[in-house]
Formats: sequence, C-alpha cells, structure tokens
Amino acid sequence: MTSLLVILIFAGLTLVILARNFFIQIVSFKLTLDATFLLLSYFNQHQQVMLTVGWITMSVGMIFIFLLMVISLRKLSIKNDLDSLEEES
Amino acid sequence: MKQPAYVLAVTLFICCVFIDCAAFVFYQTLAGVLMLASTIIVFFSGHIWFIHRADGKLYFKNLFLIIPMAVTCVAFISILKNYHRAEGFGEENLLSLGQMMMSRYQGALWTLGVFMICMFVFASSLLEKGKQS
Repeated sequence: MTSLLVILIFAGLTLVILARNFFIQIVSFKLTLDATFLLLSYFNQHQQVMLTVGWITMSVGMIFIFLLMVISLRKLSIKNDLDSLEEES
Repeated sequence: MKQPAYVLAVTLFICCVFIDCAAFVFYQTLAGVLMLASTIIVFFSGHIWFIHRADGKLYFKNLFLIIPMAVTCVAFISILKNYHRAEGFGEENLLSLGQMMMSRYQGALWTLGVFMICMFVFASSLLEKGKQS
C-alpha cells in the first residue's frame, strides 16, 4: 500500500515536470496531492498531526492549481485579444 | 477523444477517483468527498486548455529526468519499508482536526488580510496617479 502510494506520488510529480500539456500537468498534480493525503492518513503514529499536514497540503495545493488556472486563462484571453486585434488591422 | 494526451488524462483521472474513493472508504469521509469534488472540477475545467490549445499530442521535456525521479522513488520506498512504524487507517476525528485547522487558518487569514489591504492601497495609488496624469 505504502509503496503503491509512493509510486503514484512520484509518477504524478514526474508527469508534472516532464509533460508540456497543461491538461496533463494539472490532472497529474491532483493525483500527487490525493496520493500524498492518503499516504499521510495511512500513518498511525501522530495521526492527528499527519492528517492536519495532509489537509493543509491539500488546501494549499488546490489554491495553487486554481491560481495557475486563473493565470493561464488570463494569458489565453490576452492572446485571443491580440489575435483579434491583428485580424482587425 | 482517442488522442494520446486525452487517454493519459483520463487514466490519471480514474486513478484520482480510485484514491478518493479509497479515502472515503477508509474512514476519511469528508476528505474523500471534498477530494472527489475537486478532482472532478479540475478534470473538467482542464478541458478548456485541451480544446483551446489543441493539445492532443503528448509533448515531453527531457525524458532522462525520469531516472533521478525513479531513484528518489526507490529510495523513499526503501526508507518507508525500513522505518519501523505502525500503519493503518484511523478514524476521522473532525472535532480535534477542525480545532487544529482553525488555529492555523486564523494566522493565514490575518496574513491574507494584510496582503489584500496592501494590494488595494497599491492599486488605488496607481489609479490616482492615472487620474492625475
């Protein structure tokens, strides 16, 4: 179980680093976050602390994903504006 | 829909859903529900970039980066196997978890408040400058 979760975490991280497709990057980052949370909840020692770390990791990760999405959407809309300006001119 | 990037994304999504269901089944009920909801949101909002950028083909950076990642992964697994620990899923204690989370979120809320006030002051000063010029 632990090994499987660690493999999933690293597979997700590898795809985040290696892939150029934004779609793949965000889904694999979500996979990393989910596997991290499950791994942290699997440790029985200091479980409340582990769970709190898991919840904070999950919240910060989700905020990061949505910030990335907003920034990328902004870039996309600027690019569309520029394209439409070029077409007009 | 048979493009390699989309197939990989769907595979990752299914893995995510399995992990979320595992969290739900193994006593982390609230976390499982929230994780499942966020996975669905992330996957379906990701389609925006898939459609706009026409990212059907998979593009990778330097594939040799897999080697250090795999070595680190194996190291982590061996450390976790050697480390003598008690493992197993425990019950979700929302009361104590909520107290711990809220005590940390208060700090985060104050920091965010200060940050937002600074941003508004900065933005309003820029607006004033724009009006004067």
